[in-house]
Amino acid sequence: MVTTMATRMNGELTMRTMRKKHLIGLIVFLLWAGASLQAADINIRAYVNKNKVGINENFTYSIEVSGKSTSLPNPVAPPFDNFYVLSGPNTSTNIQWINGRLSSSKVYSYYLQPKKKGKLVIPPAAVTYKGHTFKSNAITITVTDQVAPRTSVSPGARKAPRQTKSKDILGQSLYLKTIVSKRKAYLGEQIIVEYKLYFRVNVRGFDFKKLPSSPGFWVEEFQMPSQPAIETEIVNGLNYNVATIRKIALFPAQTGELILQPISVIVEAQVRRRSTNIFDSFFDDPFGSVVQKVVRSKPIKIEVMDLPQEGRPADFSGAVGRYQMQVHVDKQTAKTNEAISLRIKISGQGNIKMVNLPDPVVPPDIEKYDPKISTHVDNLGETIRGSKTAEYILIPRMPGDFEIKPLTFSYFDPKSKKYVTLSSKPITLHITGKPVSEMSGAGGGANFDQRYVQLIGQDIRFIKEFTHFRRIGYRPYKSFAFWGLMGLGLVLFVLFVLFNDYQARLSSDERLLRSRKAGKIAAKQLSRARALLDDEKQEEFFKAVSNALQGFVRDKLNLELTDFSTPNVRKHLNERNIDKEVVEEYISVLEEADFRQFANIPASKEERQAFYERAKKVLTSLEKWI
Amino acid sequence: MKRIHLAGLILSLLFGSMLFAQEQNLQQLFREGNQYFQKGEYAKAIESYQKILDQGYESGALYYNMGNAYFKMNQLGKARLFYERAKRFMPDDEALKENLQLLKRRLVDKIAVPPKFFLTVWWEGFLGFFSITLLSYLVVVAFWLFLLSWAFYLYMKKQKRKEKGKAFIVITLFAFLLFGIMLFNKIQKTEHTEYGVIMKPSVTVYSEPRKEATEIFVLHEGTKVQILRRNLNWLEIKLADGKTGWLLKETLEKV
Repeated sequence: MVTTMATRMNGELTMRTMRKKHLIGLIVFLLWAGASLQAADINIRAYVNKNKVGINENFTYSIEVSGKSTSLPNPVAPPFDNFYVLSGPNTSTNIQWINGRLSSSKVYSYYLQPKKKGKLVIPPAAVTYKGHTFKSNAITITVTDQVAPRTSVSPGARKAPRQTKSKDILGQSLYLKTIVSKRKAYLGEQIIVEYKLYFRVNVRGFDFKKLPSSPGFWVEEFQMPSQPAIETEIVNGLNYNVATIRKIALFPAQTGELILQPISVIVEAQVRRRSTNIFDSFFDDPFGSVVQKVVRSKPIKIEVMDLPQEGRPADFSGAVGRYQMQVHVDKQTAKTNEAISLRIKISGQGNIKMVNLPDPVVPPDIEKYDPKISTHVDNLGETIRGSKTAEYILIPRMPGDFEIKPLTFSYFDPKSKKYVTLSSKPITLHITGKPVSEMSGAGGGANFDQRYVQLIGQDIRFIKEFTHFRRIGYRPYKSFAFWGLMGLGLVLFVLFVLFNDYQARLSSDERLLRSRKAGKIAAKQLSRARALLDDEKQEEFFKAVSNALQGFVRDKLNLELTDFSTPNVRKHLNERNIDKEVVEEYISVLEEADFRQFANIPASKEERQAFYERAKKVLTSLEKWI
Repeated sequence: MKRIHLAGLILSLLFGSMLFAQEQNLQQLFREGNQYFQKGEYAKAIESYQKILDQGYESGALYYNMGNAYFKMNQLGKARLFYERAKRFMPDDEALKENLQLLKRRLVDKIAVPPKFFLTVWWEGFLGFFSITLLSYLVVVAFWLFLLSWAFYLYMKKQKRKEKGKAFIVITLFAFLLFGIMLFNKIQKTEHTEYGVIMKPSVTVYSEPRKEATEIFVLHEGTKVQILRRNLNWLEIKLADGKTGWLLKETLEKV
């Protein structure tokens, strides 16, 4: 009975750092207003001061109608079939002007006592306003056998330390809830985590005990207002005040199952007690006693998926979210040596700090300086937004028209589960003026730089446009043409060799014959010469001898008449390894015969006889050699 | 008799015109693929090129273009596969060499090739200049020249003139033998040694052909391996640096 009053639902919360002015205002406002700030014209809610009661215990059931009108209709209470109505309805009305806006509320409260044990349901209350019927929520009350310990004020319990008791008092009326926007996310996708403090006591302040590190995540903290906004929410029929005390954005940096570590918050609550002991109450704080409680959130499991491989653009560098790209130059016409500023800005929601800005490709005749990169993160809104800007200073060194190629930037959109590639428009620069050498310091005007052609981009070479097709599996060395040509060559060669051989044999036969007959012919010639020995015509004799000698060697050596000359004969004979003396003898006899044939020197019969003998001797000795 | 001749003539004409039409059709598909490529529609380009392969025809340029299209689509495994196929047709193509090098730089796996004996390097570099087709032609030409010079020598000898062309026989014989050895070596290297390209993003290589075996190393998409032997649906592979191991057949595609 006592504590029921102490944990009345008039929730209020202040920060320790808050000034007093604010404190008073807040208390006044919260004490009465409860949760009347609703957008709807009329609102009906039902709540109890506790949803777990003993069989012989009573509790308060309240119906609150709130709206912007001064004349609020009266709610119709549900039938309390399972309860005794001890008292009620007790009505209280409240009208308020806040910032020029009117709000009013009417609360009907009943003291009820359950008739039986078990789970009892109080059906919704209703209110009719402008012809519409609005219904409140139904409330389930658990009725237990025993009387709840905290309601019985036994002498033993009073002796227990105050701290423990207070903690018990606070039990269910103060807790921390973690709300996660999604439990299954892509790598780098933004997850919003809100820590909400639910309380049904007066909260004087709170402090974060420790903020654990969150391995696997990159955390971006939202900026919270110095006074958390307070809303009301009915949980299990109990009216709670809810304050969002911390809001963060998580960006998973690794895949797999990650765990968000719980946080602890020290909450300082005010407990109004009505003690039976008059002295106790005398020394009590007029607002009740202050109790500190540590509330912990629960660890949260988050499953992180890898980004899909499929359709991943080549220039993708890990940006996840939704972005825009702006590329612009401050001027498109400039003189040489005049600075142009090129700004590349990526903005949007997502892991903006992890975004890599695209690198502009600038023609080599324009000098590009290292960029100034600035990042701006906006942590006030619903999600983390921001922008990253790179500012390049470009200094053109040559006049002419240049183009800065379109820049591309790719990101993964987790909502559509697709990669998006942004592309800027090409920027043309018109540069006037004289060419400026980069090294124009010492040399002066005329030293115009020659430069090698620089590679400004790298990509694969272009496709081939012409080709000749072959059947798959065709191999030249397995083809008929290959082996056919080889075989043909071989066959032709063999045929040639056979033919050549045949020819050779034929001609060699001829020669053989001639050389065999050589002796006979020579003998015939010589016998003719012998017959002419006695004759007056000595030319005839010498001619016959000469013919015999010549013919023999020509036939033996298979020489033509045209080839027959003294040096030639000597050479051929020497080649055959014939005795030098024989050869010389032959040649001298032959020459003498030729000489005498034409010289017309008279020769006696004896001389001719001797010459004949000599010639015959030479021939016989030659015959031995060849 | 006459009728048979006529029928034969008609048949051969028909066959010839069919071959011609076939060639035209292939060229048309090739041009179509090239146009799609130029427009940046790489998937469609590949579709057109694939039709040529489906009809049973191939060429180095075709494989090269397909490799390019896959490269543009950032499918590096496929790109490597087709470049390697193209390489067998045109080992000395500048553009192909450059693209392959660019591709290799984008792959995950970097394999350090142990230094080879300088003569091996020299020989392989020399072999690289010639395709099998070219070598086949060279072998035939050298063989004919050799036979001709020999025949000339024999003829000259028979004519009892001076023995000319003996040096020429030696030179042509040497050329014939050299080209023959080169062709043989080339066939050994390209046809009888099987290569494969890893097609999955990440592939575990085991010490034995079963899943429970020790995992030795991990390969990534686009890496070229030599296939040593097979065992059911497992392949034993060898890397350029000499590491060997077993992997599942479906993780790899044969060049």
